[in-house]
Amino acid sequence: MRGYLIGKIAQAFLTLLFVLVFNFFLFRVMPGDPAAILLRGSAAFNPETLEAVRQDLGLDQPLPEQFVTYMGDALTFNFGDSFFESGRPVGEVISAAVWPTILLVGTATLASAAIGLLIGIYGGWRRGSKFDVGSLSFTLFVYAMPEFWFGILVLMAFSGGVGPFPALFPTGGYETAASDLTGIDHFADVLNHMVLPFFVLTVAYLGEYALIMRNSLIDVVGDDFIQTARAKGVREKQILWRHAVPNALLPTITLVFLSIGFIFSGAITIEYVFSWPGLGWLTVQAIEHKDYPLLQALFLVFSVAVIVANLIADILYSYLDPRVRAA
Amino acid sequence: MRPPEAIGHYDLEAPQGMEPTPPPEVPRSPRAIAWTRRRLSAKRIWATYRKNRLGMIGLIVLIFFIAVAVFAPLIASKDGLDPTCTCTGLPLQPPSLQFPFGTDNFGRSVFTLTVWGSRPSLIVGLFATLISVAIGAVIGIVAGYFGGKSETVLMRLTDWFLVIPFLPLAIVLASILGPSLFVIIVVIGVTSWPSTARIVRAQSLSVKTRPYVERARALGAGHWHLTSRHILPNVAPLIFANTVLLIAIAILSETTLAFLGLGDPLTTSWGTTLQAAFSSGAASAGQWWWLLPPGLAIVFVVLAFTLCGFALDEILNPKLRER
Amino acid sequence: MKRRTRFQMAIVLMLAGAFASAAMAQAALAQTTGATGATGQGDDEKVVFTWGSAGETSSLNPMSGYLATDFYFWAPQYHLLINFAQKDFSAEPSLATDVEVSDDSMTFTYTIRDDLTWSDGVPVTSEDVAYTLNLYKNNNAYLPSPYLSQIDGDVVATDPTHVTFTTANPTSLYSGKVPYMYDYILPKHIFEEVEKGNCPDGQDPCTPKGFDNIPSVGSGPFYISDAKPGEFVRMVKNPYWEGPDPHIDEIVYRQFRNNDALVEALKAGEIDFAYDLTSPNLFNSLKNEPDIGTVAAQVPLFDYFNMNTGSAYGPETGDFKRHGDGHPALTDPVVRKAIRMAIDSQTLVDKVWLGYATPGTTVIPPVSAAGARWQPTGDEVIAWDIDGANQLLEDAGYEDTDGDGIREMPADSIDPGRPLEFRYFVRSNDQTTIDAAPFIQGWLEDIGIKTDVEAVTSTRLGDIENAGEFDLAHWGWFPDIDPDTALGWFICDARPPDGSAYDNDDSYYCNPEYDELYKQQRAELDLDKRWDIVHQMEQILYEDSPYVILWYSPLLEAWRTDTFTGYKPQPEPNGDALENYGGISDVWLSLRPVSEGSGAAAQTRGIPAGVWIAIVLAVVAIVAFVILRRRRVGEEDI
Repeated sequence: MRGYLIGKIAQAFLTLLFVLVFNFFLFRVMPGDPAAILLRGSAAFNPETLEAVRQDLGLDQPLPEQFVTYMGDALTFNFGDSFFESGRPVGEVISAAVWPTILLVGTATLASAAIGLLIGIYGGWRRGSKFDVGSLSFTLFVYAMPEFWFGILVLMAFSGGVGPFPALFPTGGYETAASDLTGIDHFADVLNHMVLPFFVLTVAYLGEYALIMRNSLIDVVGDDFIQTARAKGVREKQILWRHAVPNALLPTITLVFLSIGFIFSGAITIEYVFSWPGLGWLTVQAIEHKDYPLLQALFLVFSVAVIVANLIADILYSYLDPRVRAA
Repeated sequence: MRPPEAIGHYDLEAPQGMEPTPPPEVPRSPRAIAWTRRRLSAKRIWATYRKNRLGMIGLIVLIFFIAVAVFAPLIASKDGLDPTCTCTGLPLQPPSLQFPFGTDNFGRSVFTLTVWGSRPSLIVGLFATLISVAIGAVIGIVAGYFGGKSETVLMRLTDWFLVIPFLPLAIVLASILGPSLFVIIVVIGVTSWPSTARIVRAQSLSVKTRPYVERARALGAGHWHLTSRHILPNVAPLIFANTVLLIAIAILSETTLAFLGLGDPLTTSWGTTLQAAFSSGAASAGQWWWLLPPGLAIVFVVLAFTLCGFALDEILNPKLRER
Repeated sequence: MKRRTRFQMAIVLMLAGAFASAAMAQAALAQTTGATGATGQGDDEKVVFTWGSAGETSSLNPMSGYLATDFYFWAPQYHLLINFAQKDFSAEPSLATDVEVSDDSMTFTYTIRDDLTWSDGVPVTSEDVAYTLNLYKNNNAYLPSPYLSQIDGDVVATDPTHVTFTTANPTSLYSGKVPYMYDYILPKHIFEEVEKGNCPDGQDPCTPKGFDNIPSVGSGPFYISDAKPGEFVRMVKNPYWEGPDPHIDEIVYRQFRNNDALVEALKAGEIDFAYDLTSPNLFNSLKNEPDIGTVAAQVPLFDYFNMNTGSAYGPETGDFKRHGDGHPALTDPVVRKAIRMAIDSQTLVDKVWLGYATPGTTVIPPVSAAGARWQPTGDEVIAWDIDGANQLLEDAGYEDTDGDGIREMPADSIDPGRPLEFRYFVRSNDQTTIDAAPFIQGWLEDIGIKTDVEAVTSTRLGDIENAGEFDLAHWGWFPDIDPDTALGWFICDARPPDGSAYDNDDSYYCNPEYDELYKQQRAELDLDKRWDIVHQMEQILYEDSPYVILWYSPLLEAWRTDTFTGYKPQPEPNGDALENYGGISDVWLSLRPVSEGSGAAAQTRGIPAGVWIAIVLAVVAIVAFVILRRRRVGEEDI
């Protein structure tokens, strides 16, 4: 078991290294001179200024030198300054955006996992019942719809107030800008801004969890030990919660963790629709501006999230699955 | 001496509840044997599939949308896509008798846009998935079959690709390569093969060790013969189910990329229609008729593919049927 | 066992219920008194003007900022030497009260006013002027330095109210007759310290370009007090401002990420002014809203149809080497004129902009230095005329010899028999270029020209144009008020030289007569004579048609009529109502609340704080209940 864990952690580090190298070359391959992109159309668009900007951005160095600088900096967590937000260190730009994403994505994941799993459990347990058919239709519909489309409709309804819907919530952002709210008021303000994107993300993701759990439970329910428990006269509720669910939960939980890693980048479109100032929106902006340092660091952050989530999934799996634990 | 039918016998056991198969006539050659078996297999699969209610719903919806895409010129005139057409109405009108889904900012019928939008969306979905599955299958079979170093390297590559976040990578590639339909297809295809590769490798591993494969190798069969004649057919059903599910994901990916402004703005797809509507401010202006039809179309098509994929998975996945 | 379970459940439920009702009572109470605390500002009497747009800021430091939005935070706080008058963009003395020009037009002396004070109490002197201009020039500040390129050596402050500098060649641009030097004057005592590495806010590392300038020190009625990049910028009153007292205490800018959110915020009263709505559809929908005023403001902005007049065929002067593969037909002014005749600017304005733009003619837009613009009249006008265009091409020998609807080049041309098929690029990140394409493509087809439309990103198009690998392209420019900059885009030296570097003459136009006139207008001191030369140049460009100006883009603005009044369009009557071009403008002094109390800070929207507490507690209670229940059930075993 120990060897298994160490092996997994070593693999994770190797993957991380690959990602670092890949990131560097990926963005250097992007065509287009960032200096020209920054200045095009403005009166500053002349060869001298372009050269000045290029120097300021460190782009006049030969590629191998840039790579060495990059690797050295990366290992000391220095990711340089953002191209676009002149002079602001990348670390600062990203950390400003991390909390909103974690807040939104974290709570939405918890809620969608909890609700989705519950729906999947009850649906799978009462397979074919009205609840199952209804919830299955709902979850399939929700699984199939583009989450940003749903987001736009919700925005239209509850922020703009189309038709019978009340225009209740703010139009976007993390908090009411330039306000000096503190304590409970600030807390409530952020919650008010979070309601709609949270709702959209939760609904969008719960379909997946519900379907996985339902299938998992159906798998387990057909197993022999369930029949045995029934024969022994154990109550249905007991069978469900003490026998079926724990066994069905195992593959589901690992899948849940695996998908967590991807939810960070999946929230990009929702952050865009609701102007939520998180990592996803930052990524789209950075790509538009060819902000290499910021992009490299962002990709790293996303990849690390996935690597860590995978690692946790592996560890959790090995811990929960007695077969692996014994090995 | 064993009868020739035994060579290359499939593992596809009949699940419970299927109709008993009629005894096959004795075929002449190994190839005829294989094809007869495949035909009977297909018949059995179809018979089981027909019983799956959700799968049938999915299939019907799918056929409906494919028909819409194929017969688009008969349903709505292509001229309706041209903003300079005299057939356009007043801009941004809600649904009416003449324009059942209302009009967009050029006065074009949203109904026409939705009908014709099915083509690029389905084409991208299909071809992107083909690329993805082709890459994934090749990598998976090579990794599973050859094992050893190549397996380690290829699986590392797969894991590594899985770790890179899909949407940011797709956005970066699409913005490098430019906004065209071809690029979107390639981008989606090239970034979504890992799941296929994983499944195929796992299945290849298990098939590789089966007795008949070992026997074939002992008889002198080369790599190509083994992979194409034995491994691939065994892996194919699994790939098929996965492919159908992947098409659904590819269509959603195209929609997302188009929505973010990376699609080909000169083609009318459901994704680009949604993008045009949103960036033109349809949400705030309350022009719901422009936003609803393309979105619903996406939902139904993706749903259809998903239902079919799930049904096929239930039938074809040996693990699921072993109970 | 069971009784204990039920008892515990009951306790939990009762507690949750108690909390919930207490919170709701508080919320109800708060609502009736109106004091939910959501206004956020401690002082209810503060008048705050809030405006928003989807525009990004790059840097609030004039040394390194380069986006249009950055200007909106410099204008209320920094002076220009010569300002752009609000009425008509003519020259208006601002920080400089007088300009003395030497006889050879190469030495300039500015008289600086002595009655201004920086917002930290230090007086404004000529030292600030000299220091700032030298700082910009010597550090290649992105936007400010091009206007100083003709200055030779340093700017010198000869006494507290005068600065002097000389130029390498005689020029009229610094004479003060037309506003040209778009350089905000910065506080020397602050930036001198920054140069030494001591930033006032302790920023580390500290460089003149990296300094974030938050908070700032300004000489105008306001200065930046705090800001969060990407979120908001707040400006407050300068305590040392001697001019007329502003009627507002604070200016708050909110950055939105998309137009929908911007419009919703305006409708909900979260902001007072929505700036630069990029969608005519949204703008249109606001016209019928109660309490909302709108204007499609005229600004110096145009979209143009670019034609590759000869990247592969032009004269090789200076650094320029022939490169690329533009279609030879476009080197013929007759073909370009026919294309101009085929495009109906009015239709494009009606369809793409729903009527809110202005049809295009010359390179100098309607909003420009007073007197600079030339308009074709009478016979000079080249109107939309498909038949005329066809006739023109026929007469010039471009006939359709094989009957496929596409004309071919004449027998005596550079490339006889080649069909007129052009590559036409639109930009994927600008919807109007995509919207215009079907119309233009259709008209060109009507005159026998086939086009292949391709959408690329702006950055890619820049590369393509520099490599000369295009025929037609749709782009836009934001020219300066003084026509010198725009006219400079067509001189031979401004052509991208060899495919590896950028430059502004993206149509590869090169006309020695035009170049001569350009030099002349630069040096001509007499304003009327200068405008004559400028008009001649505009006419040459109109007839030679390296560009076809498709339209002059509007700046779409909307505001709440029930909160603030006092907007000042620049120029009158329907220019930009809020963000005047230039330095200190009247608008910030004239904005005032419509009525008592209508200028309070924005309210927050949504569920009041008290109800949130109740909800959170209820959720916690439910979760706790569920977990407890599970444990209970688990203990019962058979």
